[in-house]
Amino acid sequence: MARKSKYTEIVEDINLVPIMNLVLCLIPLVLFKTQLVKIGMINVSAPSFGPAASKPKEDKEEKPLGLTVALSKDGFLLKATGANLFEVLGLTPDGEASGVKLPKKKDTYASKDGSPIELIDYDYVSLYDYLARIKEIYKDEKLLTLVADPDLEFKFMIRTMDVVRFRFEKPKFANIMELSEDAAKLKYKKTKEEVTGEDGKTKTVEAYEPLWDQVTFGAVQ
Amino acid sequence: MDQKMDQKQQMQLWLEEQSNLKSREREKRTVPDEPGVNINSLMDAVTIILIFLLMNFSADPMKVTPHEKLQLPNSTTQLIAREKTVTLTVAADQILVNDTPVLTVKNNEVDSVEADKLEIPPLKAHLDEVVNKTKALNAQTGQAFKDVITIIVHGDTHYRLVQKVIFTAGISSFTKFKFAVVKGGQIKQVM
Repeated sequence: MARKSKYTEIVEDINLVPIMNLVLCLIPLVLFKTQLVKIGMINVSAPSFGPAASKPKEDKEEKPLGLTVALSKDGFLLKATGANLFEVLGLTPDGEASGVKLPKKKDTYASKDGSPIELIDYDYVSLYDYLARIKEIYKDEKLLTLVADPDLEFKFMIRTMDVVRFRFEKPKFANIMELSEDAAKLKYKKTKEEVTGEDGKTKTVEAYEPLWDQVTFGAVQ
Repeated sequence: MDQKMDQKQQMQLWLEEQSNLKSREREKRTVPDEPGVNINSLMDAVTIILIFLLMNFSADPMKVTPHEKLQLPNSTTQLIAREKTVTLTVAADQILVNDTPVLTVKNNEVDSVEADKLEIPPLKAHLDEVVNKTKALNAQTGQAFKDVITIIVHGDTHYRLVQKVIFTAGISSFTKFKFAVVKGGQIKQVM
């Protein structure tokens, strides 16, 4: 026969009021300090139009490529002071054009609510393709100058920088949707870099393979 | 005799009625020992909110609150601000240095500057003042002055103004530029 316990269980409610008070005080404090928008940073080299810009070394045997991407209301224009880009990219020179033109293109974009919109916008896909091909030949070059029309919005320059910064895993993209998805998922090629830490030890770190990661701003033309 | 008995009974009944009334009133007046409000569910909700806020709590040295006049461009960059630097904010209506308003902006133009000149003299003067103050402060603590500036630009600002701001910062002894963006944007997204 089961014996009854001598002691009767006394269940008492825990007094949560002091903890509740503390938590309610903490919420406004944390809420005030919390930043719901995550802020990122983009490093930009000293611009070529300012006095702080580093002057190109004259004792270099090879002429620097001096690659420039100019943004206008019509599209991109790729220019290089140290090479003929039509030859590099295997294109037929366009009579009077000073560089390779990439006019705006119709593509499917996503609106803020996620619905697809057919829109004429910059041809980021071809820009990435051309810049990746130029990099194949000029492997040591890193500097890219971005120039824009004076009344062009700054956000387009940031978007262009997103496309040119690293090399993607995929060699080529069919449309902006593919490019955008890979950029959002950070599907970049990875390389191993040796980094010397503060303690003097060398570590091997996995990093994204740079494409044109040193971006600077040029003067308005 | 019967009359007396009736009177007695009536008195007793009246007394009983009165005592019942009083006890009912007393019952009404008595407050229960404990109110018994169950705060457990509220506690759960508050704890979840607190955990969510703590997860999102950022110890970023730079804090930007986007608003109508300061919509930062989106980017896929993974870099974050690691150190506190001098900040130069170019909003749609004003230019600020370390959150102090310096100039008014109207239609992507600064009033006191000639259209064809790159330098913005009032901004240069303010930046110089900030640099001198920071240098003096760093000298006291034995730290070297870092010539890094974080530029926070409204996405719709025209490149002409951005260029002027960069140029002015460049001649005020800043050589490294960082641009603040909102992380997680998509290239295909229409802004």
